[in-house]
Amino acid sequence: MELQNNIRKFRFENGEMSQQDLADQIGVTRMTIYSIEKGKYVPSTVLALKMAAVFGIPVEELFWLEDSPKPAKEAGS
Amino acid sequence: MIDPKTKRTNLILFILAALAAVYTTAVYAILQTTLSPALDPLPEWLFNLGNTLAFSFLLIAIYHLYLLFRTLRSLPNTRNPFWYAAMLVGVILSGIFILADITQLGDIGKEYLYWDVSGAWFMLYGSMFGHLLFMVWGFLTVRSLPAAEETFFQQMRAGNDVLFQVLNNIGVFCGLLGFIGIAASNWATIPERFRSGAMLIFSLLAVLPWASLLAYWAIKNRKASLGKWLDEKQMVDTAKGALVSMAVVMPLLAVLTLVSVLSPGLSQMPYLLAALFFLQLLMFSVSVLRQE
Repeated sequence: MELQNNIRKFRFENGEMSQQDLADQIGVTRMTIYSIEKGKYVPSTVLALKMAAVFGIPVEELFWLEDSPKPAKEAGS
Repeated sequence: MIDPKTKRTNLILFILAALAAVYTTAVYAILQTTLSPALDPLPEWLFNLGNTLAFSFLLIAIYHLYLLFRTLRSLPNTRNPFWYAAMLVGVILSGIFILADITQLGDIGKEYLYWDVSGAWFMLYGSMFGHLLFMVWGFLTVRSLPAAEETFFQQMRAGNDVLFQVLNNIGVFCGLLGFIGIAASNWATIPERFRSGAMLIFSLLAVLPWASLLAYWAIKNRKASLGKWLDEKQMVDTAKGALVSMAVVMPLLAVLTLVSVLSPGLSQMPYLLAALFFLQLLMFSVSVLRQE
């Protein structure tokens, strides 16, 4: 089972936030955001929670495991 | 792109340094053809001509320092860390070799009376060509650099990804240079009594660009705790890099230790340890970059 994410979608829904902007807000580098979006890196729990807090959403809407039911918002979009 | 004032400064300093390099080459040619044991005493104009080289070396050194400052200032915004790292290594080493040129000139001044110094002159011409090449490369790179968005001392953030990539790219260059250089020295015709000194100087020069940037990073982040120097992904990548380099180098080190115990007369040991250091630097840097 692999970790999937909606980061790019929520970035664009939040004023077309750039990877660098998101990285600055949570205290990591742009390359880390890029790697997470591409599925190359699994973030720590703290980092995942920080990202969810930036978008004001539960972390389960931002990250889920493949083969698990996707969040209702993602499934309906 | 960089502002017009920076472009103008870059152009002026480059022209002065390039003219200085051409002038220095011309003076070399005059000195080489004029200096001979039969010329005694040396005419005063020859001394004066040689002394003017101090000014031309100063101009060349100033431009090297300017290139170093300008590229470091734009470091956070560069889009091509590999090219950037190559240029930094070249400028630093070229700058160091200015001192070697000055020393070489002094040696020629003492030795021309006793033996043929044409080989030393050849090295000086080659070195000046190298300086000019890196100055041209630096000039073109500075022209294409992104503008520095913050002041020099505001730039570095903990875990800055460009600095991390450039540092590891430089690690690859320095690791390769050091490892290949020490391996190749086995076939070089260096007199045995000079070998250890030559290897030490070469090793220091080969590691200098990487160590300089590492020191720069340390100074910039001196007020932050060590855990803040890298973000979590960089920490993970660094740990993986350390694991890979350890996995490669430790077995080699164990084998070398065993061989040195079984063959106490193994005289290559100091150079092999230096070669292992550069191999470890190379393995570590490549492994970290592969995670990016």
